[in-house]
Amino acid sequence: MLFNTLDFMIFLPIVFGLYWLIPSKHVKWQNILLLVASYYFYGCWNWKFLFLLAFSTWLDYFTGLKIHDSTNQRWRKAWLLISVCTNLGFLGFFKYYNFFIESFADLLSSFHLQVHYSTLQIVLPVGISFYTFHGLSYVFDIYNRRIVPTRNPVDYTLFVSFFPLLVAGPIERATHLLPQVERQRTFDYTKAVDGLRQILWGLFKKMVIADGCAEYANLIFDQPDMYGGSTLVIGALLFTFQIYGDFSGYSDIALGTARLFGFELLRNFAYPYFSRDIAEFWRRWHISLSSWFKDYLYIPLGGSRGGKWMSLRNTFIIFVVSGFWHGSNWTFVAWGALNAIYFVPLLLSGKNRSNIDIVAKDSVLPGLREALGILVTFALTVFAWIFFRAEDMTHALHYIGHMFSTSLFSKPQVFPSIVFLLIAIFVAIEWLGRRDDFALRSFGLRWPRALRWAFYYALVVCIFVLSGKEQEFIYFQF
Amino acid sequence: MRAFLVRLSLFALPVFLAFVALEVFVRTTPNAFSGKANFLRTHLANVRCLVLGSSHNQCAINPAYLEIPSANIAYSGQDEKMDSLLLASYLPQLPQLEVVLVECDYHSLEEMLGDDYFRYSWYYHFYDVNNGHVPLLQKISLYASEPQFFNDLLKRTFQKNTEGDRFNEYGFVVNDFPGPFLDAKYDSLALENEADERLKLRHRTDSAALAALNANTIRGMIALCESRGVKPLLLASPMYSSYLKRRIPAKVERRAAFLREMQARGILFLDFENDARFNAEDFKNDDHLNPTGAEKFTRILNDTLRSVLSGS
Repeated sequence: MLFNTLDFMIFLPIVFGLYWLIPSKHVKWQNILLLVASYYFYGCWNWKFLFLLAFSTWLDYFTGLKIHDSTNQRWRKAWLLISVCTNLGFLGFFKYYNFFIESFADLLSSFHLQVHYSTLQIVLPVGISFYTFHGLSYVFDIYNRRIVPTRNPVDYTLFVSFFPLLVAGPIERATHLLPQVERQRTFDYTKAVDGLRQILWGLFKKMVIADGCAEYANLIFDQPDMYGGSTLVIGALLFTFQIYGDFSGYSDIALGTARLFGFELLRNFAYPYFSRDIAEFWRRWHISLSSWFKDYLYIPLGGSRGGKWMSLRNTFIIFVVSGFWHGSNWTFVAWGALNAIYFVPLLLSGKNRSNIDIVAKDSVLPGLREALGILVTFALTVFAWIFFRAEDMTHALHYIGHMFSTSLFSKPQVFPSIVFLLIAIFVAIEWLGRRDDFALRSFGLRWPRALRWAFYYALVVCIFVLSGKEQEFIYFQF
Repeated sequence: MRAFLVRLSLFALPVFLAFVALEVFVRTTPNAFSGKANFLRTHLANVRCLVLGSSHNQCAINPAYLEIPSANIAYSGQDEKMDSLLLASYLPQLPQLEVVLVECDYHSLEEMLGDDYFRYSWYYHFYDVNNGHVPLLQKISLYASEPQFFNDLLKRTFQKNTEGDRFNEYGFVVNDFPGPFLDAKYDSLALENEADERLKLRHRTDSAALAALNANTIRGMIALCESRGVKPLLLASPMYSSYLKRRIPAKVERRAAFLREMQARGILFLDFENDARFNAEDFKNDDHLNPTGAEKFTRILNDTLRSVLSGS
């Protein structure tokens, strides 16, 4: 089931109503209801993969208990390894099997060794990268004695499979979500209204901005030969807004939905396109994944403790692994590596934490230096997204080669003015709301109610009338 | 909680009402699909010829030029399975029916819709035909089947400068000219030069298994027609040379084998696929006639039907 469908618009009120109707807000029954709803939500995509989800959940629950209960360090490590290897084994099989087979055959053929190989028709289970990382963070935290495992299987299963975050995150931590699952939840009017606003904004981002951009971005990326350089720039720009609208829109709907049930999920986006340098961008883009890699890969690798070179090596590793996490394609690896290259000068000059605050915190507009930083960072990001969007490396390099040709300064053959107008309105609202965790949190709150509601209705009308052709959420494939 | 529900209801009420209005709009605003269904359902008593099939037959036959009362319920994407469901559902309701035209062209034998095809609910709403794959929500709401399609319909209705489909009382679209052939100004040389690119993905399914399944479905339709004393005719409408040249040989052979079997059983195959009387000006694209070509073809088909039905 997708968030941007009428099915979800019916599913959500039913679950919401039943959830808050439970007598005395009994947490046990609330959790059971959410668990059933979550499995139904996932099963609507493909019920057969519920078994994989259930097995993965059971494995981490069981190994978590074993790690905690073992007094012998060897056994603790063995249980951890069982969990990690099985989880990564599933992820590797479903996501990377064909990639490794093909890459290995390509490597051998470059040494003039011909091999006969066969790939498998593997269906990638939706959300496997996300729920695998949920489970891994849980066992890592138990192993590192940061948390004590829960002994309630319902609570743990709900932590892994809570439907708002099940298929595309945010990637939650047991330290953050599990206590919320375990404690009594009461209805909070302000939180629920905030949740609805966030859902509305998420739907606008996804259905109007992302899907509107996708129509043209797909057109241009599918046949770059047909267009001049300037049009290819437009294509890259549109994809830049598509992926942001798509993924941050999904996250907004997820966070908003969770709020309706009394949960606070981890924030995933913090206006990344207003970043003044690439380090800031990565503190604001897919925050739950970046922090996961930081905590469970970068720091265990030594982080920045071994000096600049060690820090540089570790930075490269997490960017490349993060790229690879997105998919079994060299384009994602290139995208990760390119971002690492962007990051290096900041790291070497020690300026990777110089932009921590909100941009233009006390003013309406950014200063000249800030504006320049935002523009340069945005341009670098747009360029990197070409790799992310391309079908393969040849496509990416061809696209870039064609883009930087003499036709770069010609009049674009494709210029969807309505889409750009909507993007301009969208960016303006995001800019005005940049101090909040989502743009509509306080936007218009001081207006008279009639005006504020008129604005919300305008968004609803845009969602119905201006939405582009329905596209699946990009991050579902990861 | 109560305050939340009250305010939410107040906010949602106009949205809900707008949605209801939208649903009424999509159900009542005529389109080619509903036009065909309405025509059939209001002329059950006197239809003598029923045309089934995909967009090929949809675009090729304008019942206005057939002298016997006819209904063309062929529609874009409609496969043999859906044809057989429509036939099974309507055959008993058509007392005057004499002939059924079943599409049997190059592509239709190897196409099959998936279980999640969005237009199944249209058949449910307009023909009252349920193939068992219509989700509950789409049974309630026609709009839910394809919001984007109906949004476009809505936009076209209110944008004065865009022309939507114009269709006659039979649901045949009479202004269906736009396409690559009109874009190329019917220049046959230019059309041939760009044909490889245009047709590289067109009807490339190459499946003996699907051909066997569809052949079985057609056999079922023929048996059904014969059991009711209705004459089944297999039909292939005209295609442009660019399309014919790029067919997959194995697929052509599979259909030929099926047609040989039908011929042995005495089933007539009306083969206009490679008819030299049709040229670029008659097509909107490589495998669909435009309304001018449809008029020309329907008149030819009319003569053929006359002789078939008179037994000459």
